[in-house]
Amino acid sequence: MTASLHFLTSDLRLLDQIRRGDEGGLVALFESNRRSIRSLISRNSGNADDADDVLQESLIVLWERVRSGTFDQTAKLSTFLYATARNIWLTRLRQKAIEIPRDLDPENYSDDSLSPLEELVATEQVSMIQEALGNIGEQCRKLLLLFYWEELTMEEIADRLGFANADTAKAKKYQCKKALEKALGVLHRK
Amino acid sequence: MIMSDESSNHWTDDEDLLARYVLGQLHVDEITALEKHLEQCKRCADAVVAERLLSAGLKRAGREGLKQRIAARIAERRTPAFSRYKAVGIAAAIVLLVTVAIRYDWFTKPEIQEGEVQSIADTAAPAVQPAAAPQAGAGRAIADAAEPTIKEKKRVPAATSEASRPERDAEARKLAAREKAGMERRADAVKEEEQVLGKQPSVLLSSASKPEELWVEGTLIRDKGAPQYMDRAAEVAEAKNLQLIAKTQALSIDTVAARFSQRPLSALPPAQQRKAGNQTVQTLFRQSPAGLHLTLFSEPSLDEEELQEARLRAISADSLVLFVGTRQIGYKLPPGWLRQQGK
Repeated sequence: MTASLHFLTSDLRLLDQIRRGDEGGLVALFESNRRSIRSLISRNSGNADDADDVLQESLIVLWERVRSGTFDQTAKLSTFLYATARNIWLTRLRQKAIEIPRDLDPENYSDDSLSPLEELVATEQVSMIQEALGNIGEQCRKLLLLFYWEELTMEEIADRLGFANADTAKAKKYQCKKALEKALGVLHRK
Repeated sequence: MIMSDESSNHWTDDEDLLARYVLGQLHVDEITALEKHLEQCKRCADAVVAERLLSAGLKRAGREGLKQRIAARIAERRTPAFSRYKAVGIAAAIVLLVTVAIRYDWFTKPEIQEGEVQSIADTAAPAVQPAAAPQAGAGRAIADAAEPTIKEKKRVPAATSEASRPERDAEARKLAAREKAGMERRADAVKEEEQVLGKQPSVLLSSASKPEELWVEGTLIRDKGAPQYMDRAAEVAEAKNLQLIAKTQALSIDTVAARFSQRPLSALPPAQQRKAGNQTVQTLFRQSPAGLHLTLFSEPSLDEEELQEARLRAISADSLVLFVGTRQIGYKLPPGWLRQQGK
């Protein structure tokens, strides 16, 4: 009982950290779940590097769900991370056309993975967008990521980036998007 | 909100509405109404596709950034911890060593008699120096034993006597002959590779090669003819591919003018043969005044008709996808290579 309470308070503290945008909580979760994920992946045709990568991806899923308010805590964070890591690894095995090991349950597999071609295009797209984001200034970079990735409202963005109000943030977002499109156009023509 | 295509107003002109639609932040009734308009308005449909790509790209860029930051913080945390443990370990080992040394009087100078030195020297090099200069002889013999020449280090034991020198010379000659033979074999291999490539070595075979040639390992993205690809995931992927191809067409992704030819795997130079695999296609890219030419080394061989109808498309400045028959092969080129070659 004491142990469960400890986990509960620890999880609540970590979730609160993530809600506040503190990435330190993710590092703590990485350390505490590393061993179990390594064990899962090594039993299923993967190695330690694969395991670390999959755990990082799982933490990002957690981060996005918590930040968007769609995370429903019905289990311990470690249970959520384990299930997410298993699904991510299963998807990767399918992409590599490797036979699915028995202890990964295919029933839990959600088929929203990218095809190899989509993956290739997406990777290119990301690298181009990352490069373009580097050319539009720090404030614009932050604003666009807060809006499109973290899906914050204009009020929240105005508050976070110190704009006078939501309308100012909205006008700035328009300018930043145009700047990004211009930077992408330049990269595409290169 | 005017939804007619005839009108100059399009709902996708409303940046906020467009973004909320793409981010899935609208009510289902609103979505239904907006999608009705999309069926009739190509311009709006294109704007939605572009917004979706931008949104997806930004999401992925955000994730990648976070992933890199997590990895950096983990690495940062691990390095000092490792050093701390290491430092404690080293300190403990030193304390233990000093304790043992003190306990067994390792720091006390041993009282060695002159005769004992002579005895050690004689054991090391009995025939090197005349008996009249025993100490100098001992020094030379120890120096000889401790510092053999670089070649000798490979095979001669540290304390080798004068009597074994002819054997050492013979062994050195053998080694030199073996090294020479090895160099000749390597030179033959390079020549063989050059012959296979029409006497034009590729960049991966020689650092002094021509910049207009490049070996690239193509990844077999999809092969409808290969049964192992036709599982449930592949069927879903295929449907997505069709959508994706439509998207890439909407983005006016370039078709690259190129000619194609093929050769059997056995014609691959040895260095490339070692890299050949089931899911890869070793390909030689060659740029000439006539344009880009790709030589595909694959088995089973491709249908000549399919090869003539093959299309090469650039999905970015440095990534290409070759559509040949039922196959799609992805190529990632070194940054700027196509541009350097005057694409």
